[in-house]
Amino acid sequence: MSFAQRLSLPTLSVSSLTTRLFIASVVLLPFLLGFSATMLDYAFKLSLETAERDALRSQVYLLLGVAEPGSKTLEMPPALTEPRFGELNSGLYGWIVDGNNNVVWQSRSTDLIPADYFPELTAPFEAGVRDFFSSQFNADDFYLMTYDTIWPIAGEDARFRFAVAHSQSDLKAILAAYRERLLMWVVGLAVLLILVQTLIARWGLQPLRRLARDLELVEAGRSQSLSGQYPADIRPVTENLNKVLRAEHAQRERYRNTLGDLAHSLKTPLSVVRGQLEMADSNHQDIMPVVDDQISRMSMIIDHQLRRASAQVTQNAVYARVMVRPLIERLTGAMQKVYGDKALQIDIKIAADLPFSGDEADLMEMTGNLIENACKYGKSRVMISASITDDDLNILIEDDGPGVSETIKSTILTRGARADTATSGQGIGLSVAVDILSSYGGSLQISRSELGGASFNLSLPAHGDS
Amino acid sequence: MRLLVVEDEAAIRSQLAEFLGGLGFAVDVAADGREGLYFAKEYDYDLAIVDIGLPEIDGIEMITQARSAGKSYPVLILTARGNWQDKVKGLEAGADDYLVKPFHNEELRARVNALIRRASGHSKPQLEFGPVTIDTAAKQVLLNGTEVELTSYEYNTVEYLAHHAGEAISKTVLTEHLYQQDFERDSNVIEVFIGRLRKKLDPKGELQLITTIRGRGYRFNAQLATEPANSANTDSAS
Repeated sequence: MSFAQRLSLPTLSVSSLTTRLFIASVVLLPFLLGFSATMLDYAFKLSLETAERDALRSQVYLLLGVAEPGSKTLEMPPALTEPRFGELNSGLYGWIVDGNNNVVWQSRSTDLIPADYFPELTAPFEAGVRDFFSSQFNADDFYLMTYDTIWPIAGEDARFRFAVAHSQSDLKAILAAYRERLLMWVVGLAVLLILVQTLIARWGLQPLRRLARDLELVEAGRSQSLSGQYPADIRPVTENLNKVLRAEHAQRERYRNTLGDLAHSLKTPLSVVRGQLEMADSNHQDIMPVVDDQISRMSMIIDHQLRRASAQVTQNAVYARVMVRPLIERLTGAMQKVYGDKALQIDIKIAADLPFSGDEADLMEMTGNLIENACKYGKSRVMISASITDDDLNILIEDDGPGVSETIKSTILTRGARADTATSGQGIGLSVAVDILSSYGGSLQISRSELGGASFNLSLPAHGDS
Repeated sequence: MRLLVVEDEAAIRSQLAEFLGGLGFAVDVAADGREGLYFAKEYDYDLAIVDIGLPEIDGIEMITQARSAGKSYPVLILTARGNWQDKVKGLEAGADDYLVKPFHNEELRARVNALIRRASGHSKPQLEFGPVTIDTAAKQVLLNGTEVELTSYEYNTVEYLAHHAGEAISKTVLTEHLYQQDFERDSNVIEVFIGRLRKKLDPKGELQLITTIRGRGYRFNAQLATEPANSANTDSAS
């Protein structure tokens, strides 16, 4: 079980890299920003408290400074230099208790506060020790600073505890304002970070998007390999992909050659047998047609099965894009030679840039047989036209010959009962075209041409998928 | 008619030689592309039959080289693969027709005859010279519609001359195209053939069918032709 599975992170099942990065940052950002905000808040609060402690210490020293030992107890002047001690409910209060916790003095600011509202200072007495703490009294939060001291009164050491309390309400207001501002900054920062992060992801993933686009071009047959310049990180991927593409192409070529060699080596002995048979003396005339017929069948089965094997291996191949017109022109050029004395008029109506997404050899096999038939059976005219309509590449091959009879038509078009049952005539060559055509997911229609003869309509998916 | 057969498979090579020899052709055989190319460049054949898959130099390369050496006689390619790429490459290299293995001998005979006839510029298998008709498909000669009895050598002589009507054909060339290489060449035999042909085809001597050109050989009277014939071997690239 992997780490991710154990954590069962939902983000890992998300397919888009951009989304993944986005989700990761959305999950991580609040943690990071929340942590930073807490730290900032804590530090600020700490500094406020430190300042408060310093201020209270000064106040305690102020009280200590003005205290005078009297006859029975400590005596304090009526007015202090700190005006807040003299102002009612000013938020700053001072008082002194003796060793028995009796209040010996209290500042004027405490006049409206009942004495029992003062917090009890329970800490054990220890001379020369300052204590700073937070407490609540009179429905308010206070910081308190106490200072224990021993003072000689009437020849005896008397204990006194000086206490100063300061309301926290001012500090709370400052802290609240600070927190409000901090929240604004954090939210603003979060939005900014997500925005920047998205932009970085888009920019960073751009080569991957280009890779996807280039791969699409390869798949559509517009490009043979990934030719763009890629960053070093994904160059190993593109280089390997190119290697795979090249290897796949070479593999297909090798396979086709092997099949061709196999056809060659199977048909050569058949050729010898047929030749020998025809040269033999006439003692075995009765078996000759049978053997000859079987030779034809074997030859056709070899063609058919090898073609099927070849079609299977090329079915999911990534193809190059082939221009239809030059290929058709090569075929008709060849046919003009073979049927030279017929002086055929061959018209080609195909746009120069009309593409076929597939294998050149396959297109040649599919159209070659049909064009040869048209030249063979046509009297004086052959017309080849092609166009792409509704995602289909249609190639129309017409002649002014006798046309195709219904029986031959059904023989050609019946699938499964092709190569090994077709006996002679047009059926044989066309079964090959139909074989390859069906491996491309295409179809063949036979009808009557306006020229008077047969019209063969090859229909292939224009994008090359089957 | 002299043919070159280039085929690496010994059994098919000897069958072809035997079959074509039986049809009255003089046949040279080669077992690989190098040997085939040597023959193809060295001699002027009436036709070459070349297998595409040859050792040493493949058939297509052999044809290309023979063509660039200026050889323009018709070439028939044999292919076992039967795929269109091979066929088209072969035809583009300079071949004139193809035959897919395993083929019937009759099919081969028809293709060979058609190619030789086309190479001499005749579009029909019947060559007509006034009252004389040479039927290259049936290998017979008619005089005013009646078949003339000819031996196969006599027929081959008249067909060769008729295919090259209007040209002066020397006895050496005639011998080369009519007999196997190891045949003992005797120019007297040719003279005897010509004499017999003249008697059989033009008994009264009024047609001047075959004229002797002193020091250069014989010439078939092209002016008698009802169908205008091109000079030999110009059809291969049309």
